[in-house]
Amino acid sequence: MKFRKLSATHFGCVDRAEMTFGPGLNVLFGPNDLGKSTLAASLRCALLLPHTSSASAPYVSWSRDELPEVTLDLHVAEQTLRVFKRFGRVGGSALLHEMVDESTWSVLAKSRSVDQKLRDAIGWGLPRAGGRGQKGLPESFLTTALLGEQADVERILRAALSDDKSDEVYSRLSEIVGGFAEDPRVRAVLDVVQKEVDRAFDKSGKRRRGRGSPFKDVAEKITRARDELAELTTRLRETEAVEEQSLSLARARDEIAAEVARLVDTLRDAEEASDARAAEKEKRATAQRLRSELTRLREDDARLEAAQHELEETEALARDVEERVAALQERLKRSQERDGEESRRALSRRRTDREDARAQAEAALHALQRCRVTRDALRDATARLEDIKTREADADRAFRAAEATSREAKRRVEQKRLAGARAALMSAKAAKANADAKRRALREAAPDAPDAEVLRDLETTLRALSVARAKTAVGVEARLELARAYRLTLVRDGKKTSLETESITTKADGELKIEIAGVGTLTIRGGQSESHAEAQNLEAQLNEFESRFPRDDEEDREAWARGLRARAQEAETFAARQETLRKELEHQEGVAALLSDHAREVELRAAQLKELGGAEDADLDATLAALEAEERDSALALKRMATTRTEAVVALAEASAIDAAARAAVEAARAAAGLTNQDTDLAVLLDRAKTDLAAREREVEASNAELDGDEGSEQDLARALDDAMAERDAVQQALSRARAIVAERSREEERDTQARALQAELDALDLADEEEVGSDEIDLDDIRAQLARAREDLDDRDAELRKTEGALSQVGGAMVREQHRAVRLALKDLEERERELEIDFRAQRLLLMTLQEVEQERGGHVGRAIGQPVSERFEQLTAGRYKNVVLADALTAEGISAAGATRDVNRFSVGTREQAATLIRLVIAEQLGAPLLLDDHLTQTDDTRLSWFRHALREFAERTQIIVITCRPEDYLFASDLPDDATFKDSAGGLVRAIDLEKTITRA
Amino acid sequence: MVVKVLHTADWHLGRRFRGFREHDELELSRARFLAIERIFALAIQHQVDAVLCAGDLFDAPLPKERHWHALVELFAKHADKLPATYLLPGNHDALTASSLYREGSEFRRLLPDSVRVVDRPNSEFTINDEAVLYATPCQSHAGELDLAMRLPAREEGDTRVRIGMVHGQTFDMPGHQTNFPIDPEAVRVRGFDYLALGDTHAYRVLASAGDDKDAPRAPVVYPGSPEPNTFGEPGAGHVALVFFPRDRGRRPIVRRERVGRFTWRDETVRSLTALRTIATESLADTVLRLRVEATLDAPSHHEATRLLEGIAGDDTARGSAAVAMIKTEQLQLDTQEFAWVDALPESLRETANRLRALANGEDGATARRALLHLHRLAGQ
Repeated sequence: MKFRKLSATHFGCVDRAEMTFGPGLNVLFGPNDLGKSTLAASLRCALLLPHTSSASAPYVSWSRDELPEVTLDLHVAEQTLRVFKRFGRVGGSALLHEMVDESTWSVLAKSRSVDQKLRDAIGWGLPRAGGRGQKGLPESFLTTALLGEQADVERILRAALSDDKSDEVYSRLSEIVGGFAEDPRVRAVLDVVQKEVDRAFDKSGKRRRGRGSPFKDVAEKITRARDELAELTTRLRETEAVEEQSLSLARARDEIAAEVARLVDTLRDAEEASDARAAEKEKRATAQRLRSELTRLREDDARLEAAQHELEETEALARDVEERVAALQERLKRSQERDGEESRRALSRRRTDREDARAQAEAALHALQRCRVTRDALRDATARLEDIKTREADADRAFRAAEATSREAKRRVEQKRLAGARAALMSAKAAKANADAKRRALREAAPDAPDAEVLRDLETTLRALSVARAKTAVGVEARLELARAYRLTLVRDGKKTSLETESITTKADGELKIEIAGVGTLTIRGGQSESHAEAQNLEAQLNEFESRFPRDDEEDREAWARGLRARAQEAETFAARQETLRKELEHQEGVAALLSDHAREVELRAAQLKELGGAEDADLDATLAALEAEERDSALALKRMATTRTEAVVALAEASAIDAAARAAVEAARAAAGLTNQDTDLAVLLDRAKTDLAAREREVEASNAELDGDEGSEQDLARALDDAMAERDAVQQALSRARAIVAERSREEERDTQARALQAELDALDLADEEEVGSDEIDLDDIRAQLARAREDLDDRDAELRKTEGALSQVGGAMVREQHRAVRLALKDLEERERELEIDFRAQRLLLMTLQEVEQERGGHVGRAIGQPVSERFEQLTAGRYKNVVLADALTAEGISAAGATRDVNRFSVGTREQAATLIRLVIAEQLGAPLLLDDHLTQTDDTRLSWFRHALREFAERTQIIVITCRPEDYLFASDLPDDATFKDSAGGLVRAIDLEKTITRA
Repeated sequence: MVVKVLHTADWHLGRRFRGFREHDELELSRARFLAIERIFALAIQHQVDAVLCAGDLFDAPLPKERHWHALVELFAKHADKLPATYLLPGNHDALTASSLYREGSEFRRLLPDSVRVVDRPNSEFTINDEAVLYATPCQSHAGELDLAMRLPAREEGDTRVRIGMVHGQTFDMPGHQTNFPIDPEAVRVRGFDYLALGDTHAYRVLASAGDDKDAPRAPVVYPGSPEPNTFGEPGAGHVALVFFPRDRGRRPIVRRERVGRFTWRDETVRSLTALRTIATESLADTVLRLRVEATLDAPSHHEATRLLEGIAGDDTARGSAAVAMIKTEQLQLDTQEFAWVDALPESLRETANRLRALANGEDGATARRALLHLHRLAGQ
């Protein structure tokens, strides 16, 4: 590294200084209080001090209200750099340029980044610029060794390389001075490994990521693969979610389909069971009929037995009657022979009258008997009617109970719905609150920001202004000489400063204005007036922009424009957010409207509930299903009740008809019996009729007896005969009847056959057990309703499934799964490759470090390496008096060998110590190829040793740049080296440059 | 013969072969087009009446132009000899709104007239007087519709050879639920003489032997991909040549024909000897994934590395394998055997000893790798 040029302005006591350094020994001389040390400080500040550091305060201009400025050109690592710094917390600035060619510089860094860039370039092991706890000039071993201040001997001797935060300097020194790796195989290994390590890691040991980094390719591929995988993961999740949903729906659908199938089976079974039950009932009716038939047949048998007995009695009677008739005929024959016709006719008339009376009595009795039969029928009908009425009343009560249950169920269901609706109402309120919040957010004022068009105009104007200013920035310089000191206000390129002086030389890039208090103003502008006009015009436009979008005083236009861009971006984001909010608001307003409808429904349901009566049930959720079932059951019960009721009504109608018919029959019977309406007691009437009949029969009997008793009377005999004959006829008739009945006995076999047939038929009916048939009614309607609901459910599931299948066609399916797997595996491979690379290069670094360590141990430490040339020169300087300067590995001076022993440096004279320190610095600078600044370092050195140094410095200067600042130039220069009237003079073939600071420095 | 057809599918043109080096990816990509050349040559040689391409001809609905353009050029090159060719969109290159199969696309415009794209459900194409093709394209990347079951059934009195062509997976395959499931019974239910399928990458004929009474009467065939797409697809690399005899009582004859070049091998070697054996094999048509799982001393390790370089090649020279993917994560250095350091200069020997001491420590992998670097560099 070499310094090329230094320029300082308003730097402490130096108002202005400018010099160009030679490549070798530069001796800058001048009298005391000229500002030599300030000049040295300006060089240190240019190189090391951040422009905003408070440590620049001592260098504020002594005479002017200007910030100290320094510009340093230097050549380092094949680059020529120019660092410019204006020191000050406010108004300070820094720029780092790289020289493209002699007249062209390109900006490498600005402001705060200048220092780090510079430190990276010079590589003196300096801490990171802007790090914590840094104040003033940063310190490192090399800043002390190479740029150390005047008479800082102790510090130089005690400066330890190990205090540096970075081991960069140590490594470089080790490498440079170690003299190791002499074996070519070791050297070759080191070279290759070093190259590989440098390729992979930067100076701070971090992985390189930029161009040429071996990690870059795989890192980029990993980034791409991760991005791709993230996208595919999202798509895969969508696919899996849809698949899961589809599968779940398909399963649910299958379950419902199974339920439908089960219900279909159940319905079929139930219908079959119902049919079977109906058939069973029919069979039972048939059986009942057959049993009645059998009973009747058995009763007939009993009746036949009685009739047989009666027949036998009647035949006996008939025989008696026949005998009596025969006897009477015999007597009548004899009587006729003895009585007259007249007497017989009288007897016969009386008998006929009595028989008529008896016939009438018999007719009345028969009428009454018919009447009793009818009455019995009427009683049966009335009883049946009563029964039906009772059943009807029961049905009505059940109906009313079912209605009440249904109403209760409805009430509870309504109550639940009300609860749901109220929940919806709460949601509506929440949605409304949300919507209100969004509405409030929408009402937020949009940030004040230029729109895209304005921003474009602004940027166009800024660019145009930059161009216009470039046209006027041609550089102007003015020198003003006044008769006396005036208060001057200088405005250079818009920057104002004030001072009081009688002469001034100043320059500006574009415009320079000098206001002389009380005299007038001189304005000098570079460039063409059109350019100025254009710039002015553009300034006016910018002012207009600034009036719309105000700019802070301390804010430059660039920052202002950046701020506006950021605000415009914010405004865009804000607008997008507003749009989103507006959409959300629309949606939520829709939701709120919907929920408002729910709210109205709430009120309606509440009213309905109130009508239904009863308090709200607190825990309806758990019982809702039961209630709905109850409601369904109630509906079914109602339906059954209604059926029963209808049946009852029909039965009642039938019963009423029967009642009417029975009453009509009674009336008819009464009429037939010749009863009046007053004869209401049929039994009494019947008894009376029977009594009457008995009396009549007795009368007939008496007549017969009269006839029988009057054997002598022909008429009596004839009557007796008639009676007997009538009796005989009656008996004959009874006999005929009895015979007819008995004759039926001859059909007994037929009846037995009939009875067996009936029994067989009865047996063939194969009646099921009561339990088997069951007594519960099968509710087919209920099963059909369940089936209908299940089918509706199935349709719903099918629709959902179709919808999901539609969604499935929108996702990636197996293709995405394949791609996801491929990318995942590829990413795994890439990550493995990256790990391998990492291990590979870490291994290279480990190899390098281990090998360096071994080599250093073998080749000796840096201290010994540096100490050797120092000792050699020190021995020369002291003419062999002191032999060896002992340096620790961290380059701290441990001691000096004198009189056969190593002695602490503090035991030597100040002059000897400063000479030793200077030698150490020279050797370090020589080894590193770094410039060395010596600010009057040999003040305590005698002429003899100064003479030695004069030569030694020239020798060192052949390999490194040395800048000596002194008030005694003859200590370092020969007389012929000194410039006459010129500012500087080069001698020794350009190796030595003498610079007269009196001619270079303008004191403040 | 009533009709002869060539059935192919799953070309997957434009497919990325992730995990391979870039030039290997290109090699594998090029191989697909060479396989298509062989397919066309086979069709011409056997004078088939139709070439049926049953989906996934491209890996995406809108592949890069260079891929579809190369295919168009292949069609153009053989246009005068190639019979009618039917391109069916599959689930990868589904007939979506952005698909290159859409009517009016540049791809369609450049295709010869003999190449037909199945761009409508239940499309019917007459192959000749006695044979007809029914096909339905995939219109999305996934779906649950059984496209085969949706093809029209044989009408009474229709005695022609009926061929169905769809893309999807039969029920007996895992993961069928989203990939257009196909009931193999469709061939019987819909009255087809042959069901040409695409999707699975291995050659597969369902119930071809005909001994199973419950098996479908007509063949249901996956020809597979003409070149394998990944490791573990041993049945890939074929097409199906199908001959329909005039005797309608006989089943069609399905013949598997190889058209692929590459065999994909997945090998693991556990000794230097095994590695040496593989290194001497002819691998010119092999895509090799080789895992080395061995612990070797530094010289053997070095030899193994050289052998692997010989197999895989690099950017400057081809390896013995057509394409190789080498996995050496399990190739370890044996630090017990350390005689090789004796010949090193003292500094390097000391360095080796220090690294060896670190080899069993926390960052042993780095130390072992450093030893390998040292062995390599010191030997150069």
